[in-house]
Amino acid sequence: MSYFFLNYGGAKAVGGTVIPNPTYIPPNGHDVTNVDLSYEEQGEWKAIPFLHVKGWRQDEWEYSPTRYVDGKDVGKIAARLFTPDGWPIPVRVSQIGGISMRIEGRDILSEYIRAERVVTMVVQPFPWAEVEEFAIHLQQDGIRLLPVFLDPATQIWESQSVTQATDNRSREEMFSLEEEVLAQAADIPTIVDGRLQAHSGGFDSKTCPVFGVIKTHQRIPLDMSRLKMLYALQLGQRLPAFIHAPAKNLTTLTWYLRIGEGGGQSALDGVVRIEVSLDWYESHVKGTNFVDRLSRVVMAYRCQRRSYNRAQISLEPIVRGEDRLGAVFGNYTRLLNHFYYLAHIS
Amino acid sequence: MTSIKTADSAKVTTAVQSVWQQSGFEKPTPGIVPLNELISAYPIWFAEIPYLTPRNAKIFLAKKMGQTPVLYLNSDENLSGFLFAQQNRSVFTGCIFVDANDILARRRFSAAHELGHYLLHFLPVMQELAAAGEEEVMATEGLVYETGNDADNTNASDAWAGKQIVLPGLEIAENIMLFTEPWQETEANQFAAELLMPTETCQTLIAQHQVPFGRKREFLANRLSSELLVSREAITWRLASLGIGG
Repeated sequence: MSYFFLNYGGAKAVGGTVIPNPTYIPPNGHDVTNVDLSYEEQGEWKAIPFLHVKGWRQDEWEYSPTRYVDGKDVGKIAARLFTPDGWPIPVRVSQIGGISMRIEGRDILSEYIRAERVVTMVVQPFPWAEVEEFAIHLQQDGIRLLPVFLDPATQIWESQSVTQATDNRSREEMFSLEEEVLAQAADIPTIVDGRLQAHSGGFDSKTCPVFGVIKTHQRIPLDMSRLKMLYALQLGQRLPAFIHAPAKNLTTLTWYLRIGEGGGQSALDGVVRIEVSLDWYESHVKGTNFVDRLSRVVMAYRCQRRSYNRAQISLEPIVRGEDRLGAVFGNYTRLLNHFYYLAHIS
Repeated sequence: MTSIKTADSAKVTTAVQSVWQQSGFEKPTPGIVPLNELISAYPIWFAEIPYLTPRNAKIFLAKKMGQTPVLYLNSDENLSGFLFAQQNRSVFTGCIFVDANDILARRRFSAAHELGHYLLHFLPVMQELAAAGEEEVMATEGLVYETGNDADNTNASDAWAGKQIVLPGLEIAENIMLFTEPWQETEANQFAAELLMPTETCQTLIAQHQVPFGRKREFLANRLSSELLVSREAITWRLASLGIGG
């Protein structure tokens, strides 16, 4: 029995929406990025059609991705408590998980699944013995306490920053679960949902054929004329590949392509970006038409379900993976009520 | 020829086992170690003090004891952990302080480190003194981590420990000073590591989360640090010492 929450004025956080995979904002802002736009095309850029790659069959291609890795973080700030000095501490209760799906002939099968229930919060201001007792109490019920480490620039009284750090910590642990499933068979060509950097612990960037497909576009590193070209891409066209070299993170070869018809609210509807480790690319496939081939495979696996609101940019194995994880997670309200029971919050 | 004394790993392992038994456990519990419960099995109380220094520790002890102890604790050096042990006739007691400003995982490690010193180094000597007829002994020890390094159990040192041993009224004081030497520090660190990250628990968790690709030890360290409520640095060191996840 732990009275940790009662001892520190714990109460339910009223309202709040359960949003799957809330936006992850890096704690230190976005990394400073260098780009080399002339890697594939030194001259003027033109849109490149990729659907008519000759002389190969997708199912015989050695780098055709047959594994797809995705993650999910479903939760919200469910409670608050107060530090001994009186500052509010947000507590996120969530279900997080990672899954890999495998293509076998015409079937898409789930391969590895890791799913967990976690409580994420800043623990620093509290006595270690009380946190320890509470963490053990949660652990005995299959819930893991994720301590949030605040960036030195973040002060405990900056409530919004503390909340963002709490959400980030939950997302980071989801990435970690994705890495865990990715690392089970990272020697097999694999597509991960999102940035390669977020999955970089799960594969060797020099030897493993792991590729990232990014659906949301922040900070597009293109000049005005190339940006215009990006908006004007037609279905089955891509832009030339370029190098994306963040100061601290993995250097990738990356390119934009349109796999959906577009015509929605944004000019980027139907556009995704693919990332490949530059080290791997240069040592394994440089000089082949790898970029077109991979683009074509990605488009071939585009989600065909009209009912799915992100179908234009989603891949069918990834969508199936999300569905499967959702089923494994179970009912969130039940988890929430169980947490309130454990924390003695009414 | 002078022999240099080294850490006695077997002695440490035995001491860790005795802690579990003292608390009524046959063996380590799976998951987070209930350190609070383990310490509570001994006549030791603990506290978290912001800006822990020898001087602040003395002030705190004076409040707790109702009188100022005869201890030469006037330094303002920052400490992560502090141990005060006392023998009064055949009664042995101890106090463990940790710096409230340290990260939580380190505070736990510091507390376990000081418990290690108490059981491995202070208590045996005080018991000998009591048997020899000494009526009162007080001893202290302080823990300092290397600046800018969070590797709790690799770089801990006791910058001023030993100088503070106070044995009031005892002629033999100079002869039995408990200078905390490197091997004692190593033993206290090993004790804390084995206590908070039991071998069997680590092996079970590793079997659950082993990955054939990627940054294996880093990945395991990240995972196990929250499973065991220890710092990533501490579990990384522990995994290396167990020869796992390289």
